[in-house]
Amino acid sequence: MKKIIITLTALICTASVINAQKLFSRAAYLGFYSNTKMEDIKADNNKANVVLDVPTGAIEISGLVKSFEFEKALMQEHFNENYMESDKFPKTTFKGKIDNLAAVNFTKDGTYNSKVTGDLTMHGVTKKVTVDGIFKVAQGKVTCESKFFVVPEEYNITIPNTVRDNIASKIEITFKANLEELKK
Amino acid sequence: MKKNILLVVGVLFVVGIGYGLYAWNKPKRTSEDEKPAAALEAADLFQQFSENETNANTAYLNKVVEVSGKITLIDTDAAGLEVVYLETADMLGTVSCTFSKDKNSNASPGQEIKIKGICDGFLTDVVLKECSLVQ
Repeated sequence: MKKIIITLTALICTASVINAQKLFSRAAYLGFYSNTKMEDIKADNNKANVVLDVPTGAIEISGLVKSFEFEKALMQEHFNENYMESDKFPKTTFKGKIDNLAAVNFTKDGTYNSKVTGDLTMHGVTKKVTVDGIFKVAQGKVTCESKFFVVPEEYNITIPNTVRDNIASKIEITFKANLEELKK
Repeated sequence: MKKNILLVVGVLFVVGIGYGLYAWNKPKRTSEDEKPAAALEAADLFQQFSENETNANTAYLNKVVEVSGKITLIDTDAAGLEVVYLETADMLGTVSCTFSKDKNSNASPGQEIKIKGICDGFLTDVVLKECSLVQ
């Protein structure tokens, strides 16, 4: 009996994903990691938003620059005021599409590697990027994650020579989200 | 004369180190001890952001804002902080209030609450962080 209920629940959950046109999270994770011989700098943002349109594979991620939490208040201040100028450019966004959508089956459990291409906007500069993404489907739940690097100078972020050795030339960005069905 | 110069250099050095240590260990800014720059209904704050984000950013970004409203959902984020979502007129959007570490609302969904927090900006929700309970 228990088994039947579990199976039924699983079926219903799976069905809900099959029917979902849009998947969503308002608590997605964005990580910032700079690794140099001098020091490691890390920041976490647990308030990013993501919307995935299942039929077309269009994906939109947005995060607030001020929501990145650093271990040191001083670092957070420098990040916001000197580098990202978050009063002027409060948001970072990515608008793209899954390149190999046919290879990702949102209705079948599995781990799907994908390429996602789109426009990454930060510090007021927009660049076309292609990143590796992993979609995991398990028991009707979809999670996605990606890791890629950005070069601050490509986004007009100037880092003074005095601290250039303390900040990595390529910053590692991590993205993770547990998606749910977007109910309108 | 030489002694005096040494003394001045010494004092400056100590002050410099002291300031450096202070700046390095500066505590995180929270909303708790700050007077709010504005106090309004959560739904009103949301509407201002959805109507004109640029203006609302100018008015509220980085400021302590006090909001009152009805709790739709209470959640815990990946860092273990409590997040209280307040109702707005929008179907999807809320005012999301993430509490400071070791702070919480002691409330439950459906309740009316008054919270203050630092405004990070606008996504689907208006985002407030380092929140504390007003009443």
